[in-house]
Amino acid sequence: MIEINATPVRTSKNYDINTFSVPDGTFDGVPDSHFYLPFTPWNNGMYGISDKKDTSCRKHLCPEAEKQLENPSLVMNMTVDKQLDDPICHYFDFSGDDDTVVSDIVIRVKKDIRARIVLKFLSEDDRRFNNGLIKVHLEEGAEADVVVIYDLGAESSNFVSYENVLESGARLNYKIVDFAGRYSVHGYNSYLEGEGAESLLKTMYVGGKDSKIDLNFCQTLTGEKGHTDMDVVGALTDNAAKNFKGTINFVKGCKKSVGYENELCLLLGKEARSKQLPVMLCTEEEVEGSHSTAVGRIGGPELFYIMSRGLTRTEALKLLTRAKFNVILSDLFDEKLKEEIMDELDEKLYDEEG
Amino acid sequence: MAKKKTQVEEFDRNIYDIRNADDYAYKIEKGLTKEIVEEISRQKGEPSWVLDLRLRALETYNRLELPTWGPNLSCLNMDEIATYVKPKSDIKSDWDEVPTEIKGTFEKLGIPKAEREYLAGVGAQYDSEVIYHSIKKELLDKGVIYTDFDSGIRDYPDLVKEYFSKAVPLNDHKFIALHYAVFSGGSFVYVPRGVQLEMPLQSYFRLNSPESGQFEHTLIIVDEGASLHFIEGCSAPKYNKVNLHAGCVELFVKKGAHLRYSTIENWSKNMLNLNTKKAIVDKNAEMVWVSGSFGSHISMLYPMSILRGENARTEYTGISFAGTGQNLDTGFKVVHAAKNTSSVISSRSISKNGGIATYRSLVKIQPAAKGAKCSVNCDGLMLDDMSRSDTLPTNDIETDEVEFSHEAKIGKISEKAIFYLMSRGLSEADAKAMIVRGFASPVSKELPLEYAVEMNQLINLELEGAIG
Repeated sequence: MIEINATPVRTSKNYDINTFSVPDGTFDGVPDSHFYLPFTPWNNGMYGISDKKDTSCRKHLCPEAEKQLENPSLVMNMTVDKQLDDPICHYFDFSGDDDTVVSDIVIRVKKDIRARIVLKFLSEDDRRFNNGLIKVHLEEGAEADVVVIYDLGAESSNFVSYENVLESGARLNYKIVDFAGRYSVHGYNSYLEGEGAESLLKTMYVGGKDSKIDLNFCQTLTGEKGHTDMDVVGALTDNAAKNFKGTINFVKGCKKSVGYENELCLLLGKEARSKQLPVMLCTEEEVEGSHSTAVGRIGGPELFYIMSRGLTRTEALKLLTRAKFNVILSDLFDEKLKEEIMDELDEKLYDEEG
Repeated sequence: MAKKKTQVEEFDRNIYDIRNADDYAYKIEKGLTKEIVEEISRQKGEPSWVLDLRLRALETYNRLELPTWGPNLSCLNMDEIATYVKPKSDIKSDWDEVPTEIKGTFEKLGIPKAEREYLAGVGAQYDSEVIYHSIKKELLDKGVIYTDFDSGIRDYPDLVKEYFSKAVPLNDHKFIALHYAVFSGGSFVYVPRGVQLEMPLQSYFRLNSPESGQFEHTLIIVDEGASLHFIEGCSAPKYNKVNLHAGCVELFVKKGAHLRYSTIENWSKNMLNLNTKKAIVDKNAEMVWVSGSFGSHISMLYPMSILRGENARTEYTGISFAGTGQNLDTGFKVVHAAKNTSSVISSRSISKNGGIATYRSLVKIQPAAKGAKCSVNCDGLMLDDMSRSDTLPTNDIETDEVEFSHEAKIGKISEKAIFYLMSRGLSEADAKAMIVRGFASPVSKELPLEYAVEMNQLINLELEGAIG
């Protein structure tokens, strides 16, 4: 087995959460020789694009994943240097003959520019494999809303490293929406280096039969007056298993910084399993940090109450589930996209009952 | 001379630092070998099954690796540690028969006075052996057993064999294997069915000898419907070289029973405190842990409750206070293994003057634990920017029928709160000290009054010169 996605700080190995194990050879696949382009752009999809490769990353999932990334099949290097009215949207359809995709995406937003970017990774087929790197660099005063959606099929394997660097006054509002397949592993690292940088991460995940999800999110605050907020909401059905490892690292010198993280995991399957490791590391006195995690299910008095108002059980469940996930999607700038995600959520969780 | 910024009221730190001459009846050579383990067993005149267990534990110790997580333990060299030091006194049941110097130490620590005033029984260990043990006669008449662990092995072999090493197996981790190889001293308690002890029992562990270790074993069985409050205290004078404490506490709380286990730990700051504590809690029983960690150079201490009976409950209330040169890695572990079990975990940690305080925990809710409830709260307070405060809680939930919540906060003393108290006439230092005591109050209010006073005094001592 290969140990990947290591936490910044280890805890007892008996807790089996420091790393995530995948079979040997997971990252041995070689994509077809041609690049995966062209993808299907929406709106401003071709804006600022080049195919200049940049797979450097401060923290890859593991050396094997890093090595595989040396030869990406999909490269998108985007620089946003002017204000656009519409979001930049990319729709990556992985359906087709090429099982293995190695994706390298870099987004750079220039000083004082605001960008809204949507990346959708979809597939109609099962057994898709993606080893990806998504880097976002926000220059001073830049703002970005980034939405990344994965729906690659029930047998898919999705491994993604994220690296965000925020300069002074930069603001990143990141959303990850993951309809997980067999393996779904996310190693997310944000570095709040400039004064007053703000990094928000809202993530939703849904795991079904045999899904194994590993979320390793780390926000490192080094600049003064930084702000980070992580909200994670997920649902696990059947025998899905999920690790959530969320770290807020207050590094000495990040005075007057604040950091919060919250995770809610809905266990909707009798054999579903949720592991959580919400970590706070602090070497700076003048900060404020908190985390909270909760595990529960949907049901009980609230379900009874809504059904007593005339809704069927499935309708009531959908309503309550949407309410929980709305924490993640409430500020999504595209209402239509939000509704698409909610519909997909309904379908994944309740289609059998519906 | 540096200005002292907080007030210390009529409390003498020196009582913990009393250093008697390293005067012993027998001190085993330093190191850890088969011959040393056999010699400890021979000195104690043990039955062969105990020696067999010790030797198996030694093999396990040699096989297991040091933890790859937590504080750096590279300062520990077992070749520099004497694992058995027999004091110049056998066990007594009258303080007047205890050698004057040893008795004087315990008097300064307040043990005989506490025994007279509010304890039902006392055990006092000095280095590797218990030198004093007593229990009120009326409890003996009710069938309560409270004795040193060697006497427990000798006088109650069937009972000890049934429970010894069953809660904490010798392969649990490297330092528990070490413990079983060289254990000496400790207490054995049995509270019969339905017997309720209204006053606590207390064991106090004092390590006087330099470059030595203390490895006491405490085994407590509270039988069905019975109730006990057990208090554990520990301290040592400070030496320049490393001392080691690797004790073990095994607790069995039977059906409908109640056990409260309170610890005020104030080891000296050259001590490595690698203690292991575990409770097995049966149906409708309750296990309450109250823990204050103030001393030691490094602590790795994570008491554990295994809730194996339906409706079993546990509470943990703990505080750690890490100052200069200290790395206190503490927390709690709970396993919910049966229906409708519940746990409430509350932890506070304070770090100052470069100290490192880490809260590390495990909550495991197994598939069988339908209807389990668990609430975790851990807060960290940093008093300066030289220190470090980390929280690493692991939660492993394997059933959908569960109510689980976890909250943690980290930060400094609120400037608004200080301003408010100063507007009421307190100095800044006094305001901060009051806030720290308030931060620690969830722990102190769980202790008997006398121990709460001691804990507050320890906090005052730790704060001396640290804030303001």
